[in-house]
Amino acid sequence: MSHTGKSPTPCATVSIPSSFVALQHDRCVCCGRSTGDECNLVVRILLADDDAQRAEALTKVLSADPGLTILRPIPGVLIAVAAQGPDVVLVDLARSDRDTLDGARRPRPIVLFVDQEDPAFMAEAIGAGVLSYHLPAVPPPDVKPILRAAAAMFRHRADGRLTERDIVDRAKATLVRERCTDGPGADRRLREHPRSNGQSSKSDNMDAGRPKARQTVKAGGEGSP
Amino acid sequence: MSTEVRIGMLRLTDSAPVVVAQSHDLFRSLNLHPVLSIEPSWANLADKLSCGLLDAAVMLPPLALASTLGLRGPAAKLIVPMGLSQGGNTIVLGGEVIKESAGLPPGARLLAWLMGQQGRPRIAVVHQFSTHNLLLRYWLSMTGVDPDRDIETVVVPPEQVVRALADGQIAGFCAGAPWGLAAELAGVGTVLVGTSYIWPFHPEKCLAVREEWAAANPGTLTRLLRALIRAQITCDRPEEADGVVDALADIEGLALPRDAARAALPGGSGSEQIHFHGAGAAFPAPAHAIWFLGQMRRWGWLTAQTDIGAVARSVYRPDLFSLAAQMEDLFTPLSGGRSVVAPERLWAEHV
Repeated sequence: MSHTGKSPTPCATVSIPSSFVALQHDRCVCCGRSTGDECNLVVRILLADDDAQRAEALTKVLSADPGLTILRPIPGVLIAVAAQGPDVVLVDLARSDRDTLDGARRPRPIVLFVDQEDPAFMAEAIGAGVLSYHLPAVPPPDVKPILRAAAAMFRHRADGRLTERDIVDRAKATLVRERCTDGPGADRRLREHPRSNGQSSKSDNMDAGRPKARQTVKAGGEGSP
Repeated sequence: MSTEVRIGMLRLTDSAPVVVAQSHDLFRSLNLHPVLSIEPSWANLADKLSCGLLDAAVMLPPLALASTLGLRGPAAKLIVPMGLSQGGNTIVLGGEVIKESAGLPPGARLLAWLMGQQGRPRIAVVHQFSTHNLLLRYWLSMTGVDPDRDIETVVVPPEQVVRALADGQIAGFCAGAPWGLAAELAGVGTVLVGTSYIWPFHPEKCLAVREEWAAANPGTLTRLLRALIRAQITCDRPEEADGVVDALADIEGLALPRDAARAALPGGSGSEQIHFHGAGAAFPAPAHAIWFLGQMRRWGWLTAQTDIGAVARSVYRPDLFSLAAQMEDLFTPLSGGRSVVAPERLWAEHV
């Protein structure tokens, strides 16, 4: 919730979600474009994955993107959420403590990412064994590339036919393609899905904290390797 | 050729109707080929149902309603064509105070225990949208305890509550069988009451399917319900309990502890026994949904605009149940049997 460095001025007419922590980096979290000091937003991600090797590989993939910060995992999902205040939680579906996140309103309301326009993607992520929760203030279009990269990582590792390095490279490629949507595709997405700016999240009212924009327009370059 | 049906459940005694329908060949006798999936979380069941990776699941009624209303993220239209069980949950508290108060009425024991706690005790339920949470909150309120102010509610998976209580992460819990008795047998907690004390014959687990799947596969759904009705009748017979315990212990991935599972089945020795078919357990009464939704509204989880009656009638589908029940030559109750008596009737004289 705090900003460091100079006041961020993100691309286009996008306002900054209050949940985002701004750090110095050279790419825009909204569109992946190189923006120098213009765009200083970072999404903080918690990995709830007990498979240490997989979590490490996924950390490698996500942290290569300067717009993403991976939080050090600590045991107990809800404790970690309370202590570290992530914007996005990626959760391994094999974890039974996933229910602690589901419908959670304390310490802060978080919601399950669902793309109702793209049920095949949801089935793919669930089939791979990973889903994500996020703060209501984080726009769903920002969550999808992160979840897609995680799903690619989970799927390829379960498949076992690729080397660790290939898996990381493919997941990275997925992330870059999804987040770097230069050109008309990116503009269209931003125009149709203006970011909500720290909308009210009365902690005791679930409905008040729910994201307004649920649907996602397909950004350019979709599809998995 | 038999029809494949993918059915999800958790590691709980009240998954028995599905497990028994499998082990006793009841699905096969109706030309169904079940693929059972034992999931680690309720959220997994809800999501896999929503996106078609499962056709049916043993579900918590409030979670089926919450999924349909989009309260946990996705709005996925689920329907409840039958109930699967009544009762079976226990409220377990840790520490010495609760042991010393044996003999007092449960409400007095609860208050004595609360007085002895440092700060707000942390009590675990199995899901935000669970029968456990709503019944616990209802009883606490009736006992004069504010569930939002006087205790802290956390969600802990049922199979982890015993360890969480032993480790001191929680002070008590409300969870399904066999975990309450398992905690007592492990010496880490005391069973205060079964949830049937709060609401006798209360609806517990239900069968949930996607509305779209039900509409596209009416014949399969009816055969599924018929197989589960037959299994429920078997599960209700004390003389069949040993076979039910075998099935619950033997199915790969379920492996429930035999003694604790047996205690919660009909004729068992636990403080709370599960009813599977009799007393209207199978009947998906919209009145039950109205009670659950009313409690959800009471705690501020629903908007004032939600039309509770309309939601209840669209999710709970006694018409689908009755069709299957008639094919099994059963009389169908007009309402929900005994459990349709709301707990307010019982508790009115206490306040």
